[in-house]
Amino acid sequence: MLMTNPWLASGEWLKGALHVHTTNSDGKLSPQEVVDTYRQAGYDFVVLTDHGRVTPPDTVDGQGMVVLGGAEVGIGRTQHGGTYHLVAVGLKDQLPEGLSQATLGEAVALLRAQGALVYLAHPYWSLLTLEDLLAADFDGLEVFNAGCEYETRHGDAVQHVDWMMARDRMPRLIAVDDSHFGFWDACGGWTMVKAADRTPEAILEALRAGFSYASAGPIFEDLELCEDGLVVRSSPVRAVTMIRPGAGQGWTTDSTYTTRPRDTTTTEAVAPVPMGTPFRIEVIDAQGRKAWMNPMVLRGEQ
Amino acid sequence: MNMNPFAVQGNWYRGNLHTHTTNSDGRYSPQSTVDVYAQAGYDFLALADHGRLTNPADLDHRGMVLVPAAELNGGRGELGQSFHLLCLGMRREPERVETPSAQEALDYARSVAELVFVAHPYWSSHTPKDLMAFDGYDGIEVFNTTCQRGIGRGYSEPHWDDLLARGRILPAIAVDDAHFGYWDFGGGWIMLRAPQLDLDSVMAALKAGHYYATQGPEIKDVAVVDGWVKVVCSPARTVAMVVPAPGRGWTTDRVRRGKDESPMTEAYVPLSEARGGVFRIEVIDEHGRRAWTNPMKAS
Repeated sequence: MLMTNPWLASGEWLKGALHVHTTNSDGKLSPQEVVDTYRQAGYDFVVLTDHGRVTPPDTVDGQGMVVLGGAEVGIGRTQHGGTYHLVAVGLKDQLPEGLSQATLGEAVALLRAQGALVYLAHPYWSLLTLEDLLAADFDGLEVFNAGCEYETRHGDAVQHVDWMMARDRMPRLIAVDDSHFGFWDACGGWTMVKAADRTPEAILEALRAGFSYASAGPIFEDLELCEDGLVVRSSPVRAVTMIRPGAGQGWTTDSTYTTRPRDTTTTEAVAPVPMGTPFRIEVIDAQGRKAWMNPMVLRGEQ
Repeated sequence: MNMNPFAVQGNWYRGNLHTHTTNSDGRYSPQSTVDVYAQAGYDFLALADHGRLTNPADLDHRGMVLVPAAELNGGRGELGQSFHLLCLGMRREPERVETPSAQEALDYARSVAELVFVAHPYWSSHTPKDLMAFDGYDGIEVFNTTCQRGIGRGYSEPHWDDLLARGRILPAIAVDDAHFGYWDFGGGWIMLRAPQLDLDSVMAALKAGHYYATQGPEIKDVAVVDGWVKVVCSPARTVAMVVPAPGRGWTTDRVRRGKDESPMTEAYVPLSEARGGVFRIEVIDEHGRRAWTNPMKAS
């Protein structure tokens, strides 16, 4: 059975923004305005992640939307001379003591001890190397950061995910917009979470369990292990891909087209069953927008 | 090296520098492969079979320039995969040599070819450390069609930008690496600027970096005008100045997103974003297809 298949979990799909900035750091909108913007855009939850400080969720009125506290923390030194940007999701009211003097590993531990999930922000924008990615025990990383993509074209970090998978790491993947609202940088990337309830605790639990996927557009409808293979159902997409970390390994629907290029879309594909090795599913639509499932590994009896 | 095809005189020629035939693991014979590309209007082609030279002298070129080429293997990356080296301008049939390290493989390749590119870094699971562990290659493949349509791992921009950030100012090419087992033809090529279409002119333009790589979009001009880089192109959704430094760069999305997003054929990007260093331009069309210039200096 698949270890982290969200479609085997109970609950409902909630759309969330996990990395946003407000006037409490370098955002252009107040926390309330940010919350209102996402609610009007149809999101179910938002995590306020200002630089170096937590905006307590109870200081804003969600009006039905769930608001979580978080922060973006700069720490340590990467191989290319920048700092690691950590997105902590699920902080109640303030950053833990001792964070500014902590090493990278200590910072991650301190944040997690407060109940937060710790994601590496925008690995490509930060030009992170494999050594950087392995430097601490992160819960996951931003496979797509729309704000970084709009600003620098360095928003898609799939190669970074796959370097980690080749070293047997299985990071959770989130997509975010990293909105500051200096220009319309919101709603280009989001994370879908299968939560048992519309509460912060249930959302955090689902993120921790991997009952989520990242998207810049496409919707995943189902993932099902059948006799014929692994069935992926989605909104109409140009290609369905199973990424496996070994050199030259993997599968896409494109490779099933022998004599003509693909110029149509599909809503269902059957991938070969990936016994034993880690894999992840990715789709891309006709405009080039992608969605990414978490890395998974198929264990045990079918 | 000024890798700017827009600053020199000449004509534009379309070519694919990486193809396989029945001489290694391709499905079509060398002549049939040449015919496919000639019929599709390509100007030059490199048949780069594994471990051997498919000699253009034995073939009817159908009006194209055929660049003698081969794909040679050697060394081993930190995640286990050998390096595939695309050798262009082969001088003779390659010998079978033992090359346990990437540097040895590259040194041998350079002894038999005029230009050597590292093929499909992402497909090969190469890391930045792998690409820095040896020196002397002439560039990398930023896009490889068969690697994308085969397993979804055709793009290698992060590898390229890491090299540029470390001072290895190298060009990059887009290729098919067509085997024709599935439809891996026509997904990526380069547009080369050369005074005329013959082997010497093609090799000279390749060595000078006088080309851009593309999956479809056309880049017509890139020129510095009053502190701006003016890009003229086929209708594009986004024009980007990619700067190989953490957190730097600029794209037209910054000013267009949420406003007028109709396709543009001209864009101005601020030269100051490159802070006097190296930058490269990318153009993306409405289908997400990309074109990449080679790196240029901002000064």
